[in-house]
Amino acid sequence: MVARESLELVQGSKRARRASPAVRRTARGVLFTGALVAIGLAMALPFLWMITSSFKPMREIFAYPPTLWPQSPTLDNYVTAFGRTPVARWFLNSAIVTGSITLSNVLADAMAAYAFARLRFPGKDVVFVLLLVTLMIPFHLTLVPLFLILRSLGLLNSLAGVIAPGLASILGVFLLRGFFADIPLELEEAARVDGAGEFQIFWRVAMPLARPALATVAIIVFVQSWGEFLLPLLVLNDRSAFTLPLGIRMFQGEYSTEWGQLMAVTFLADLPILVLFLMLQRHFIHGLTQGALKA
Amino acid sequence: MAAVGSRRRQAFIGWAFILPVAGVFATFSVYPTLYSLYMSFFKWRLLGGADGWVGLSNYIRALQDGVFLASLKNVFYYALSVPGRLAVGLVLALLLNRAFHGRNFWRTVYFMPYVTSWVVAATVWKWLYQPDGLINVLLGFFGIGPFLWLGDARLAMPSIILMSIWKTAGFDMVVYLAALASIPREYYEAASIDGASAWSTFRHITLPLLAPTTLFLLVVGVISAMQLFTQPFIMTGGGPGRATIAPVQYIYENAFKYYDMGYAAALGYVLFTIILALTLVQMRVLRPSR
Repeated sequence: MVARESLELVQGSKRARRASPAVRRTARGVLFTGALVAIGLAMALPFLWMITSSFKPMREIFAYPPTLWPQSPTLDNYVTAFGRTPVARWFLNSAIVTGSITLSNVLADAMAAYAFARLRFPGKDVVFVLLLVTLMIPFHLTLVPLFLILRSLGLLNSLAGVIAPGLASILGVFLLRGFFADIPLELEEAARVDGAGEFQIFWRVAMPLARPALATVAIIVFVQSWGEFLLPLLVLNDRSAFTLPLGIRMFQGEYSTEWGQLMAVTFLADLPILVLFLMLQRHFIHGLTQGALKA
Repeated sequence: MAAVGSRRRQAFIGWAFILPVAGVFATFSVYPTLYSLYMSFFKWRLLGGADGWVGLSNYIRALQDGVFLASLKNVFYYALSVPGRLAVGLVLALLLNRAFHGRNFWRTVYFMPYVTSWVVAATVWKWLYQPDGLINVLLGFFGIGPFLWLGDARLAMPSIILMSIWKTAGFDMVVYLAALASIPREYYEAASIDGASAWSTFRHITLPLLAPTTLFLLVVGVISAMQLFTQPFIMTGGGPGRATIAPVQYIYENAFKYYDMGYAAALGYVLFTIILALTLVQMRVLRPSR
């Protein structure tokens, strides 16, 4: 702050002839606020448009000039969408897929991370390097055989087929490994003196301490899994087995795009993420970038 | 004795603990990757299995396939969105990199598109881009347009790029904000004592110190840009013509529409090789010299 102000002073003395510092400071403030608001509007407009449109009756959707706020708000789009398509079912499917994947990741990633960080056993380093290499495999490379594998496992067209490949994430393992490595050895030794075994130390000492890191992994996995599109597209065939992203897509072809209903379904699909995000905004931003930076 | 016992126990628990993760990745990542390589040397029609060894001919065919080459061109074009999102992200970060009332509110607003899924974002923007959609209406107030954003071969990819910048810039912003916070204040104090202008302070202090962050965002951004799929798949279906078809969509179509599995696998490896080469080049060329 000090630096910035003295910087402004220096510039001020240089260009003092043009305008008084106070005037220029106000001008700069207006410019700054203007930029903030203008960009903010641009960022938020698609959301506002999606939400308000979902409450507009059909004739208002294409009204000219457009109304930002619905003149005669209605739930018709929601009612019709729920009547015409198994939206409720898609929502449930998405919740099942994302819920199981998130839960499994928190547990499986933590176990592996703990083993890599705290336990000594032969072969550990080899497996770790292999996992590192796996991190670099793009999904499209596995596309074709993955389908064949899921087919031979009998998992096609079932939610299990979407869940199975997502049960663990290497990113989660790396994040948590760093966290477990930082737990002081004294805590572990104290627990051992108290007669705790390896598993108890993991479950009673390490896991509770890792709660913030576990939340980070849960957030990353949840967002990723909730929005996943290509894998469900590959695996799921029946409309009743769809997750929300697939449902949204089908909606467009089949009903020559009823935009009002489509916006209603899109808003519903976005709602859990938006609510969660607004509630946990700080953790979200921290968590998602943490994941990216440590990768 | 106790030590030996506990070591053996540790080994047992260690393996048991990594087994779930290792199992998932062996089954759904490592094995399919190798299997894919194997498939790429076969004529592999339909789902039944190999129809015969064809050597490199799938790869040769890939390099002569007009649609695939067009899709590669598209994805390189799309990768232009990466400098765009970096620039927007940096501007946002610089805007927010000062203490003021409501800073968290704006950070949230700017970051919101990033947590939204690609399908939702692409669907909403598809509507905004409609001939009678909001963007044309707004431009109409200024007497501009209307444009066929997604229906015009020249405008379709720029439209997808614009939408992608909107979706991802918030992420780059947050990463840049973290990097800005770690720059020691003394540097700026020294610069102000030397009477440096705001621009030259930015040019000679901020920008160079952000170089590692920029490299990281660039590499990650290009890798994900090369795997473009959902945006054109939802918004244009790859059209008009082939203007926005992405390699991943073409791989998907070869595998699951034409059931040409061996060829699809080979296409996957060609794309992977390009991604790998690009990553290595970027890390070499752009690594900050020091």
